[in-house]
Amino acid sequence: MERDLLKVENISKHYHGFSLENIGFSLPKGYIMGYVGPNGSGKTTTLNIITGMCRSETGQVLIDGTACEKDPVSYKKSIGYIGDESFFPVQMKMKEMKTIWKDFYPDFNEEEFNRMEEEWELPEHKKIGDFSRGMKVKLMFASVFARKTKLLILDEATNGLDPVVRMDILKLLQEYIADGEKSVLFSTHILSDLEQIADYIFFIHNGKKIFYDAKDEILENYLLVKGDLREIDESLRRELIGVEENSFGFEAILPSDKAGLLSGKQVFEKPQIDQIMVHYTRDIQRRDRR
Amino acid sequence: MRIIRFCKIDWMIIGLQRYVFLGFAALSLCVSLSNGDWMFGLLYIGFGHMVLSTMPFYMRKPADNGFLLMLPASKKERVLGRFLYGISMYLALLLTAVITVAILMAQKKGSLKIFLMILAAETAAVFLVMAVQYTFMYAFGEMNSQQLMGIIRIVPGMVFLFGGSYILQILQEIMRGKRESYQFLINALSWISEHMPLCSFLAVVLGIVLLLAGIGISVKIVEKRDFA
Repeated sequence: MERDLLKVENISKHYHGFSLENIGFSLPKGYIMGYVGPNGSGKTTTLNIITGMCRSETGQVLIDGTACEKDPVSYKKSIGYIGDESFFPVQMKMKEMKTIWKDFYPDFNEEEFNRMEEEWELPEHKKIGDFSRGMKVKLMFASVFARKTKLLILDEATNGLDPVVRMDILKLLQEYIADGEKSVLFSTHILSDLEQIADYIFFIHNGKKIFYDAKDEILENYLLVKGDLREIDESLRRELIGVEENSFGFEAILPSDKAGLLSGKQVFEKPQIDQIMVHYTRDIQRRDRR
Repeated sequence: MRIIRFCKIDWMIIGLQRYVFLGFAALSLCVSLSNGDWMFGLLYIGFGHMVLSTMPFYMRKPADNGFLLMLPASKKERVLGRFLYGISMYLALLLTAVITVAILMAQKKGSLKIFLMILAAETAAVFLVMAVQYTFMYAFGEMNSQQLMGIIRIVPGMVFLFGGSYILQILQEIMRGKRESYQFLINALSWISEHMPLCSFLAVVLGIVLLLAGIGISVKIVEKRDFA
């Protein structure tokens, strides 16, 4: 039986001034993947290709073995998409939206939706354009959780939400994958969210893959090193990633397998995901400037 | 079924604008009944359709993409749904024309034969304009230039209304014997009146063929485009 729910194989997209280059990964059923990278790195382009809104120039995307081009109906039915902005027509009311969901999704559970609507205090008779950002995000989540999907795609969906709602949503995501048959692809800037719930991390920069692995592996594979720059030799300097100088010395990331290069004069610790990202990003930016 | 559902969404998206559509229907009815002549009322219907049927293209915002494009359907079904919306609006407007003609016929005014002929010609014109407008909208981006969109939306309707009024005026003058110099038109009209069922049929067929061509081209365009 197929265990990978999402297979992204070698996708590319070229725009004026930006290229997404041969991105590939797979996401097994029952797991959450964090898709991260700085602004303009290609996260949304990748997600747009996965959702079928945009076509890839190469490769393909499969959800549970189905390609969007072959069967767009079941492909899209299997996706729950939550964007960074509300994507509902602003002139519509929730009542009209429910009619559309019932029309297009035979498995739309109106009772479940009404329950969430009541719990999150979403106004039934107000135009969606008049909703606050928090309400719009909650509406997007309610619309997705009220039907049977296999893959939940979140594009910066938790940005701008208050911590309580964000925690509720992270809990919902964990409940969503609990049966081991569904998965979540989560693009976010808030790396602390990923630290809590992601099983896999894909790091993209300038349209290229930087790394992709299980989160625990990534955390195992790097060390956060601090020390005095004058006390490191050339061989260690070459391996350090994203060296950041400050008044106390330097801070950088080092691949764990290079730990032998450290002398007793540097201190190291297990980094957090956001520290790895920040140092990698700085390293790439410096190399790009050269 | 999904095509009908997309058509329904378009009716929802235009929101309060649908009352403008009802306004055109009412205007057509009033103009026809007050003049005791349905011809100009029919022109208003065509004009109303040409102006209003492109509304979903304007009302759609880039931010709606995530919602509309994520609905489980093919691009072809979305395009067909949009065309069905245009056709359904025309049929709804036609209902006004039928009511008008029924009232006028009850008052022994007008000829059903001529009504059907003019209706067939209008249907051909409406379908042609719709095919061109929609294809243009899909080809050049649904929301790139509001000014350009405005021109595509208004100009065909204006040409149809004023051009149609002018032609109808000439026809009426010919019928009253005031325009004898238009011999070629008189000849053409007498030929058409002799072959009315055939001409009506051909006009409708031509309209349908043009509409189908517009649908085919639009589907091809959309299938090649992102966010469409």
